Amino acid sequence: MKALGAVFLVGGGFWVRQMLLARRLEIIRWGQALCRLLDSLERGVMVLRRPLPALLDACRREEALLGIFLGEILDGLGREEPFTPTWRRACRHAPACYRPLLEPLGDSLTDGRRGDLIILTREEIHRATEEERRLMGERDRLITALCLSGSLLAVVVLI
Amino acid sequence: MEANYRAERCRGAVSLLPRTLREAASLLSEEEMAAAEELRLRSGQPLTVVLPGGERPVGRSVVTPGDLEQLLDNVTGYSRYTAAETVRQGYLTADGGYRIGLCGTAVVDQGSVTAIRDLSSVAIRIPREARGLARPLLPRLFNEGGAPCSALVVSPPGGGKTTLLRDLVRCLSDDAGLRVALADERGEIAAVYRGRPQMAVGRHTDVMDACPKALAIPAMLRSMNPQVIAVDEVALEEDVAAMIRAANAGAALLATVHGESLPELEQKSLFRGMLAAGVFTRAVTIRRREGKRSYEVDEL
Repeated sequence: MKALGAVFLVGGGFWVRQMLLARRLEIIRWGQALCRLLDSLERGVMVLRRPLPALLDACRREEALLGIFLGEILDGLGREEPFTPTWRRACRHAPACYRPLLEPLGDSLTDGRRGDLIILTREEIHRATEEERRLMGERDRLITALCLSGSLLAVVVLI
Repeated sequence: MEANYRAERCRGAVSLLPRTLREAASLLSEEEMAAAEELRLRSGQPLTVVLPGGERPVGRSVVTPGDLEQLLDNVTGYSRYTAAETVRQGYLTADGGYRIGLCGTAVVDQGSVTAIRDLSSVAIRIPREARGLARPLLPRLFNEGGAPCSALVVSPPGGGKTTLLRDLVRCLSDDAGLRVALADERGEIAAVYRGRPQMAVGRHTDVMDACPKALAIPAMLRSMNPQVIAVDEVALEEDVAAMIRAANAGAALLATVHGESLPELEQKSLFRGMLAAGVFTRAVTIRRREGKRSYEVDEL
């Protein structure tokens, strides 16, 4: 019974670790998906001059992770809402670390004159994602140590 | 049928408006819809409709700057960059061939307008086709050998030159089966929207729009091997020079000019040389008597 309890506590510790790491991993995936989105927008808006809703819709089909973010924008445009507030509202679905980078794009995406801003935003998000990835290794070790020692401490104290 | 078509075109223009103004405009009667020539939006003023009798307000709601921006978003599908070239020139073409004139604060860089910001006024013109209008004139626009003659359409502003030219182009293309190259500088004849003419200009018609006539004429002459070249509103010396060169290359020309009559045109130095050079062999004069238009074809 004691052994089973100990296994349960240590398993719980690992589960907490996995949850915390999955959250960090999701941030990295968001960053990568946003970079791909901005790549498509830069090419579609600045080079091909394709209509923005069609571009966003194509990206929504390709990037499942961004579905809720892009869906909110497309729904807003379907309701004839102005683009800038719709974009800013949808940015709330993005991880907090990317929001301040993404929001200013809403002011200039429809006029297509600030291709440099799209590129700059993509570079900033790429940098933030790489930083997140670099920190993840350190955090992984820290979280593993904390979860393992926490659960072992609980085993010692409770059992 | 004609009234239905005319009202339907107006409803198409109304559908471009932002929601609040659309609701106001939908209260127009069927007769007013059929007669409407333009919808006008001015910031801080109510929406107005231009009828043959004059301009009158529609509803009480005042147009806001946000409405004008939303209209631009509706027309361009939130993609203003797709219409940036024509917006710089103060207009854009909407789906359905509606021509939208824009006024606002011009952004000028090195002497040319690069953009228009803070829109203050928008005018939506409601173009309507008059299919078959040119058909009675067509036999007189061919010579005895069956080749198309170069023709000049003369009329004062608002006389219906563009409508006649559009149908002439369509007839020459569809009925006579000629290859027609249309230099649609202001996008009013074919009203091309995302690469597709919104007006019937014929199956054998090639359109180059938003390009100065003086550049479009030689470009199409080189690339499309046209039998007829059509242009609207000739007003510059370089347009006339390009047309003379095209005539010398063997293409027939169709052109419109502002003017009351042919003798009046002969007084203007711009056209005197062109007429003297014998570029045109037919003149179509549009006259308006008691609200009705008549068309006179003269040999030159």
